[in-house]
Amino acid sequence: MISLKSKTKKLDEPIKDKAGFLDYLIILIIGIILLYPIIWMFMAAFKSNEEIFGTVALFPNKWLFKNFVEGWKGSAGYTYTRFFANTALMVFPTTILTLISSTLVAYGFARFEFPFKKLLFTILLAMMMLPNTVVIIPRYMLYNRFQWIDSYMPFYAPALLCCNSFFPYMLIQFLRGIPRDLDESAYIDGCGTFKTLIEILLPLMKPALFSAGLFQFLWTYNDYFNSLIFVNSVRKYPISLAVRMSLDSESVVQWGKVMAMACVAVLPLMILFFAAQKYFVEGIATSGMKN
Amino acid sequence: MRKKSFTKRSYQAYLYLLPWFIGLVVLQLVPFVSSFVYSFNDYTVGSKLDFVGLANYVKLFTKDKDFWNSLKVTILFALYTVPGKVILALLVAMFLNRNIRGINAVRTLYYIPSLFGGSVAIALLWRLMFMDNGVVNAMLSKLGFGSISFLGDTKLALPTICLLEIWQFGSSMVMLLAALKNVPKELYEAADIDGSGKITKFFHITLPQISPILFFAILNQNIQELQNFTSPYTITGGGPMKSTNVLGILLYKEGFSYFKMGYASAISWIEFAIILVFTLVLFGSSKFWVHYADE
Amino acid sequence: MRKKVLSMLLATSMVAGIVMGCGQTQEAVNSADEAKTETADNSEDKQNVSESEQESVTLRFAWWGGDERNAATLEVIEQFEALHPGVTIEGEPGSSDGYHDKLATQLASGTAADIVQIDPETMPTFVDSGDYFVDLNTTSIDMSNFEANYIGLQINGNYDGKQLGLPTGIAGPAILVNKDVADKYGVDLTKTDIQWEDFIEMGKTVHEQDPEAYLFCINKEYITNLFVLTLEKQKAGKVYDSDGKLVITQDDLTSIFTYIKELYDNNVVAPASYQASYIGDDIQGDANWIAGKYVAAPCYISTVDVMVAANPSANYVAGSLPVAADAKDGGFASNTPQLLAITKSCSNPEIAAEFLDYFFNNEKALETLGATRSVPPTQKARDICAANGKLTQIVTDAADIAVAIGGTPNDKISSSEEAKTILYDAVEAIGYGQISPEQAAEEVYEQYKDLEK
Repeated sequence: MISLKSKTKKLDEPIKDKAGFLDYLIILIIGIILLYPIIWMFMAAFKSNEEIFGTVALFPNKWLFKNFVEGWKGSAGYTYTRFFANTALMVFPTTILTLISSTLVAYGFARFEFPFKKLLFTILLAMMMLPNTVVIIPRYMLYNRFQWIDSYMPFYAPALLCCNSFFPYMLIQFLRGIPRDLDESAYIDGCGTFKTLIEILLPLMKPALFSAGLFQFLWTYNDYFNSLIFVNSVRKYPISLAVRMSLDSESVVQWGKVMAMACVAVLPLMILFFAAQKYFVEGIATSGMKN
Repeated sequence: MRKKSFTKRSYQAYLYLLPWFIGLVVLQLVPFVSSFVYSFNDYTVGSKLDFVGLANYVKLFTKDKDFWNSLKVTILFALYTVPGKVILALLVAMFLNRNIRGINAVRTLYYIPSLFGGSVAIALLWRLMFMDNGVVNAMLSKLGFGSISFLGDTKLALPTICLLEIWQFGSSMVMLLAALKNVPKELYEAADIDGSGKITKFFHITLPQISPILFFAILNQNIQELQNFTSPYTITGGGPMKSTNVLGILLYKEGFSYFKMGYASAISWIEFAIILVFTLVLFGSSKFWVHYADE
Repeated sequence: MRKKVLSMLLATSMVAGIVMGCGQTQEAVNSADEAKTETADNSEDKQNVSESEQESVTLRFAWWGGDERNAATLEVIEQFEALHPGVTIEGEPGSSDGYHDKLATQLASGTAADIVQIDPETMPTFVDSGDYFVDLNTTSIDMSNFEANYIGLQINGNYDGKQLGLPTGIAGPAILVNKDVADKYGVDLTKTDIQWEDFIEMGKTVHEQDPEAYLFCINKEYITNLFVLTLEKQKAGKVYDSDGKLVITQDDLTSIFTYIKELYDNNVVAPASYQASYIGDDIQGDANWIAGKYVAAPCYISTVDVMVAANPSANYVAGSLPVAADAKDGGFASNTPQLLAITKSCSNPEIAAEFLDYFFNNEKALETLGATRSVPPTQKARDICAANGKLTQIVTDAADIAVAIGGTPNDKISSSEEAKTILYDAVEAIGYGQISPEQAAEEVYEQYKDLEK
């Protein structure tokens, strides 16, 4: 404590804002509570059923690495290699399409005046409140007519057509915070509107785009309801359905195996998050700055 | 000059909005209206529409016990999770809004649970942990408490699932923390000079300054939680005694287990109405507590 | 300057992104086109099949099951493919959870697999809602190994003379007794002429000796399927008659639910809140079963081996199924656990039929499949299994008991998911002590009335 205080003085910072020992302890305790389930899941992935049930020990007595080997085999015939490839094929195009369409739409709303703008913007916002469930049945019929069922088109199409209003809304909020004078002057200098978007605004939107991209990635990756309805054959299962399938009801559930695959399923999210967290948190911070 | 440029631009705006507009019509409005039409019909997969008027709604409101229960459960779910999540996020954000070494690491670690929103893997983890002989009960009995049937008790199952949602408060926290960091220091300094207390500062400076972000967080969480399906479906399947049978599950069962698409559409419209009411109330209340700096 | 370079870079990457994005869409469209072409090709094959079997044919075969069944089925597929060059059969093993929800929408939209495994109790719903399945009598499948009586039952796939599916096995209820535990508490579930009331007495005996032990490892779904539905048929003969009129009375239901309440009140079964951890078919996951704390598990012949595998060290015997003295029907329906059917949307029903013929009749196939879909439906297959030790004694014993008692299969209304859910809810409410047997009977009767045709 004393050394902390003396340091503070050296740094010439206000003492009352400086966190003390107790504060760090609280931070640590909250952190442990928050992360314990994840750590436990990781450890459970190496345990047998006997160890998972009824013992509190965090570390397994015997490390069963075979849980991963067995789990990775998936449900006969299709391994998790396949499920990961499927997930990538589903998630990446969806994310990229979302970013492109949201940028265009956000630009249209944030930088132009046009008839019915207020009305259209209200509709855009209203669509954010439209539950997925209210349109899922008719959408299913529609996709079916296009023969898109059991493909990833039901994910690509709404992304391309900017159906999740959250993303354009987020970008609009962000664009509003960028002074109009910038692109206004570029426009007057003879820049086309598209060129203005690409050359002036896009670089500035980088953090928001990263953030939006990450959100869409996470949501599509984690999505269960839509996958459940639109993806039929195991051959095309993304991770979410594969993990649920590992809890197969006609054999004794080896929870260690299930947890091993649950770990594997969340691992890409963790890696992505740690790799991109700087941009991510920055993105949230900057977009959060504006109303 | 300026005005002229704007009128010229207006035509291009529609071009930028075109993808959204097509999506709006084809994937949102038409299905939206279609499901409304379905809801007045007896309609099973593969059959023709059979107009029955208000029969689906009448049945929902007067005969279907499950419906009222699901309505209650859905609203309770949102009432537990949204305030729980947002208040916790705000408290932790305020706690972290000080000079902490390694704040970035702390922020990052606290965010981790939020990565798994709606993840089946984590829902399964929750189910395993809170089973009667799961690790949580094992811990409780080590501490000398009796075993608690978290997922078997009709009063505890819903809160247990809500706990999973609240555990994921990190995303709201990061947003609020950013907002807090952005509150101009001068405002607090001025308040210090006036001799204002902590509580006064919170209500007169902090809250108004972060209110737009807070509003955004509440609005979003609310819409999401009212639609939640994966957690209750994976953890308890709607049980025990339908105590976690949210409208999403009811709709999925009616629509995809019993193939009553008309009836399911009616449920989806009720769900929509609830979300609308909650949202309108939030927007209505925003006049009183949300302050936009530049408007 | 640096900013300009950066913006140029980003612009380039954005454009690249757009191009890539377009490329992806293009690809998706192309693959959709390809899929269409493939279907067209296949329908051509249909006409040319007799002339050249060398044309490539791809069929999808969907089923649910555990690892063993999946592995055996995939192996049979490989064998068949080896014998039929150019034919590819894509196995789509899945989980039983939600399988039929998905299948229903697939059937309606014409996207179901070519060969599908179906729960025979769900089959009537599908047959009612559309013309989805090929009459197997019109195909090349050799059905001489089946007993005509057996496959002539509607529950085994015969709908008004049309064989819309073939049974994969013989299934029925079973009571799997952990003999070690039964002896420890001195209860005998194998005695002949066992009565429903005996269960209550035995349950008391067990629970008195060890407050953590219960007679039955069971949940609300199994209580419904094995006890309530059986009692309904023993009391009333049938729940609905063939015209879809309700036969069972409210009094019958009251006495059934009174019995169910006794099961809970006397701790014959674990408390409802405990059972809630093991939903649906998950009873083999019950940690107390695995730990050998239950005396017996009411289950199905098809799940006996799975239950044994959950706690393999114990000794097991097959228990008797109780039949009330005044029973109008044995009540214990023995029928197939699954049907295999060819869908009307199948691109090449001839090859699909050949595959099923191989699946049901070829000795190598039968040997490979063993008892992974319950006790096989044909004598030929049973002999092969017995010779290879693929049928365990306990399963054979359980099958003998079930067949000896027998009973009418559930009618299609009372076996529908909707009607079962009514019972699940009632059983659950009784288990939680939320309603009395009388109230439960009244509510169920009212809801049953609504389902009348």
